Formats: sequence, C-alpha cells, structure tokens
Amino acid sequence: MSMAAAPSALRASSGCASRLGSSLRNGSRSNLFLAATPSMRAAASFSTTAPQCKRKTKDGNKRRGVSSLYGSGPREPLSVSNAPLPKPVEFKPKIEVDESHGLWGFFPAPGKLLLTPKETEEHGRAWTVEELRRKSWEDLHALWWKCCKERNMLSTAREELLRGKFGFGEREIGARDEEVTKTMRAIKHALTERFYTWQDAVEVAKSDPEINLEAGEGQVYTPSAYEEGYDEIAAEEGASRSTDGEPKETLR
Amino acid sequence: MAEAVKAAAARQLPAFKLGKKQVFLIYRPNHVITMLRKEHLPPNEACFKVPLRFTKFDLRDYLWNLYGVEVTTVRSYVKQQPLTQRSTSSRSWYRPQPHKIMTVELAKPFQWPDAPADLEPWSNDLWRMREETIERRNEEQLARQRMQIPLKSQQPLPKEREQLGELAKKMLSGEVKWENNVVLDPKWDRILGREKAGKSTETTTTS
Repeated sequence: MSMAAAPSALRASSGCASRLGSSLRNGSRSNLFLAATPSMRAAASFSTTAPQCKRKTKDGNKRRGVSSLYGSGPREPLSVSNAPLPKPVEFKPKIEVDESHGLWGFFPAPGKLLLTPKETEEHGRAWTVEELRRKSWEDLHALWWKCCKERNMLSTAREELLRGKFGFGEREIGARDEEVTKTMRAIKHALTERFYTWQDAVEVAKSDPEINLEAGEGQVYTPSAYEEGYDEIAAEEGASRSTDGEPKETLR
Repeated sequence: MAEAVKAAAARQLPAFKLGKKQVFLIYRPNHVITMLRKEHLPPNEACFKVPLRFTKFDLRDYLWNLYGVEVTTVRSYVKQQPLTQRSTSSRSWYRPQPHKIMTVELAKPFQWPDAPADLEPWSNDLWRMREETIERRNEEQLARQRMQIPLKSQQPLPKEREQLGELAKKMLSGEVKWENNVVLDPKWDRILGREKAGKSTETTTTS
C-alpha cells in the first residue's frame, strides 16, 4: 500500500488504511501517519498484494457508494488523482458579419446595438387614415411589414436595455412603439373601409343592368347603346341643363 | 413590395419548402419577435422570443420572408414564468403567461454587436442610484412586514446624536467649557456659594 498519499486524497487513503488495520498488525497506527519521514518509511511494512487493498463491500460491488450525481468520487485514490484536470479552452470564434446580413433588421443599424433615448424620441407621427385611404394595396402591404420590423427592433432594444442595465430609455421605446401601433391600426381601418366599399359596390352592381356578375372573365361589363353617344348627350345636357338621370347612373 | 418579394424568391429559394398561405390578406399578422442575446450560443445560432402560438415553421418562414434569413433548424421550448403578485397590496397571486423561446441554426453566422461603452446617454448613474433607493425601500418594507423591526439601539446613530456625543467627550476632557450666559438669581449664591466663586473666576478668564 502506498504511504505517500496526496493531501487531497488523504481522507480516502486513511479510510482505506483503517479498513486494512487487521492486515497491518505488525505496524502500529502511529507508524501509518508518520510515514512521511524517510527513516520510518524504511521501517514501515509494505505490501503490494492486490487482494488486500481491495475494498470489502457487502455485495462485492466495486462502485458501491460512488455517485457522479453527488460528486462523491472514487473511494480510493487513483493514479491520476494528483494530476489536475485539463480545462476546456476559452474559445469564442470572432466572425465578421457583412452589412447585408438579414438579422441586422433587428437592430437600428448594422453594428449598432440600440438607439439612445434621444435618438429613439426622434420620430414623426403615425400615418392617419385620411392619408392611407389614397394608398394602394401594395403600399399598405409594404408599410405593414415595415411596422412589424420596427416593432421587432424596438422590442429587441427594450430587452437588451433591461438585460444590460444600461439605464433609462424604456419610456421612449414605449412611446415610439405606440406610434407604430397607431399606424398599424390606421392601415386596418383603411382596409376595412375599402372592404365595406367593395361590398356596397357589389350590391349596386347586382341591380345594374349593364353589369352581369355571373358572366366569365372580361365579360362582366356590357355597356348599353347610349355609351357611344355619351359625349353628345353630355354636351346636350350641358347646353340644355336638363335633369336626365341616365348619365349619372353610369358615373356611379 | 409583393413583386419585390416574388422576384427575390424567384432569384434564390431557401433549402426548405416555403409556406403558400397569404397571411396578410387574411390575418394581418402583428406578432412581435424579440431577438435575445445568449452568450453561450455559437455564432451560427440565434435565439428569439416568439408569441406562444408560433410554430417552428412560422418562425422559419417569417425570418425568410421578412428578413431574408435562411434557417436550417429550429428548436423551441416554453419557459414557465414564476408566480407573481398582482400588486403589493393584494394577496392575489397568478401565474403569468409563459414565454416561447426558439433557437434557430443560421445558414450564415451572425455576431451580436458590442454593448455601448459610454452609458451617459442613458443617464446610467442616475438610474443606478434610483434602482438602489427602490431596492433599499423594498427591503425595509419586507422586513417590516415580517415584523423584523430593528431595535433603536441596533440602528445607526443619527447625526445629531453623534455630534452631541463628541461634544460631551470634549467637555469631559475639559476641552470645551459649558456656559449658557444666564445670570442666576442671588438666592442660588447660598446653595452653590463656593462653586459660583470658582466659576466666576473661570468665566472672567475665558471672557
């Protein structure tokens, strides 16, 4: 049995020694613990017999009482017990991200984490419904997704502000977010209005003799005969100021 | 924009099958996706907080259609929130809605930008002072609710008492003489006859 146990493994080795007390009857107990001095080492009994070093457990299980969960470790010091464990290298690859990367859309500008409160405050008002009524479907579609991206950016900035404990600025982010939300609400309003107008137009078209909704593509509108003479009628109407309802019907 | 998106899709398609549903036409999706900084993730992964109803396919298509970011894999989990008091005065507790967190593997790696070095625009000093004050007050209130009211003797001495103590020490050592400049009634002369004689001599020397 090795007597020069490392301090870290002292508990285990002394436990092992106490278990082997019966087999070391000729050497006294004080002998065991004073083995560090060279003169005593020569006198100490030394055994390389493997079976005597073996732990005696009730069922012969070598791993009894050893748990990786509770960090109990092996009961006996191993040959590598004194060697320090290798540590993983602190390696974080630093990569260059080009400015065209799509994830920069979550930030105010490529390479910039978040806006300062003053920069966050520098925004205009929301789009109003009156302005959006005259916009095309494509415009509204594009504006909607722009608003979504802006809200994502603001949300990321707020999260980072709170995580990094940078300071004030949450109120400014909230105000800007509210303004974007107003624009989105206005887009919904304008589109809903447009839908109701279309529904009304369909209702009117059903009673219109010139429009046949059941007809195929390109044959819905069948203008009647007076369409050719429309200019003359209008000219006559302008001259005579007659109250004729038919041209107004077509204009609707 | 729709034409531009279509042109982009025709130019380069992702390695996955894109969804075909026209979401803006029907739903007007107004989800808020938050990108989260996770230090432990490698550069080819990114983490997002998404609405609870989002699926992995939703996030994959969302990132492709809105940001042009191609994603190879999506992992997700739902993070339970701790029990929260509705307000400090009420005893009503509730469990807030959990968060859905999704981690994606990117086709092109991405590095988070560094935090700003100068925090002056955010008034960091003032903010930290305020936070400390709030925290101290909260702790005091908590201690009071637990009936852990510190004894007067265990509290730090107020400034006036410290000054008074110093003055008393000086007086005991004879550094400062006590004087209130009050002319005593003559009937006191009989009671403190001797002391008054001594004092009068002292006051004359000091004044």
